[in-house]
Amino acid sequence: MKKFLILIGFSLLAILLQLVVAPWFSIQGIKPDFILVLVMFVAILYGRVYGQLYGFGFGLIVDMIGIGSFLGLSAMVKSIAGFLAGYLKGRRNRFNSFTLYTFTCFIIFFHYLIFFLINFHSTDYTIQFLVVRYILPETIYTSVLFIVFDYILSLSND
Amino acid sequence: MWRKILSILFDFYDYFLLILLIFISFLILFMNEAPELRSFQGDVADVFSFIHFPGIWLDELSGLLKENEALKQENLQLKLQNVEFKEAYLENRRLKKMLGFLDSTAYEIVPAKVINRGTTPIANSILLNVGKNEGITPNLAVISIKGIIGKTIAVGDKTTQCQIFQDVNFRLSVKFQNSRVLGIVMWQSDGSAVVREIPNTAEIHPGELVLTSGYSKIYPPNIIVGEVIEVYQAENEPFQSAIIRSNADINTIEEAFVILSY
Repeated sequence: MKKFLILIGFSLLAILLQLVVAPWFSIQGIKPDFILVLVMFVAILYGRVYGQLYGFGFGLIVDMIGIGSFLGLSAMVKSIAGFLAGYLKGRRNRFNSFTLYTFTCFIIFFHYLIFFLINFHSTDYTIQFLVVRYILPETIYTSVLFIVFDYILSLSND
Repeated sequence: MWRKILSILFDFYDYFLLILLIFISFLILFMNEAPELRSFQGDVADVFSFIHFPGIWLDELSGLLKENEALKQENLQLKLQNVEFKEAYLENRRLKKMLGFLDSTAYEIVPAKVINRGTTPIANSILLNVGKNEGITPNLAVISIKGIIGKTIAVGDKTTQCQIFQDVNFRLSVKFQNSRVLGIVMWQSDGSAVVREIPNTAEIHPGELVLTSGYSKIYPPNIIVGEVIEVYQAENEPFQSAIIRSNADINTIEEAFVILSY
């Protein structure tokens, strides 16, 4: 019960950070995704099943309250991100930092790839344009955020 | 046989769960336009509307001084313009009376505050602090003093989600103010918009205003949509295209108006 309440607290905090803090760091409309980072941390801590369920639920709420995109899209991409990040549960210490962060970068890239491909499916934008304009910048920005939070958490664990 | 299937299900239940969640997500995506889902979305947005308060408070605090300075300048300009417009208005009324036209500019509007502009770089909706309680329904035009913003899509009791013009799926029937040519405007990801298939015979120049055509049940006529910034023609094409830019900046917009009737 206590864990559940802590999770709700962190979820509200992530939404607040996304709404209040992220716009300050916006570069050409590209913002770091606090919500995705939290989903990934939850998945790394609790595994694939909880990761994807949490990603789906949180993504759906984000879509519902109107800060996402198409209804159901955030739910889908965040459940996939939760599923993939859940692979790291219990394996985290087996990887060196480079491998760990490369894998998380890949998850974030894959998350945005699906997100932007579906979001722009009705337009004539090429995949190259979407990758250069949105997917890569978002991946880099959110990956940096993940690494910073991971570093802070590792310091507090020490 | 069944035992084998159950064993596979049990061994790979996390994969099956992912497939199920993706399936549900697709189902929701395909039902995006369903009124029941939109209504439910409006109700959920109502429950979570408190989440936006810190952002609004900070926005208001930081924007207040800047806004005050800008408003002072705008006020002076408007005062000067007002005299000119009043003259034109009186002349227009006299001429209308002579022609027997009725006054058709009485819009019923509801002012609203923008409480959220979306979190993704391709934000295609904003959240307003008005809802069913103020008489808002889906498919009403939303404007600002600088021009068109979009239309209402999901309405809760206290909040309304509005599809904005920058959404790449947004289409709007427009007319060019001077040349009176009609067209359909489509927005692009860089914030500009394009009106395609304009006859070559039409004389359109940069700086010309683009207005709503009025051939829509949602948008009243003569609402500013944007300004022409470039006109170009592809080789061997019988049509030309115009790039337009909106004056309404979604990233800074704080107030909006919902047109209930016109």
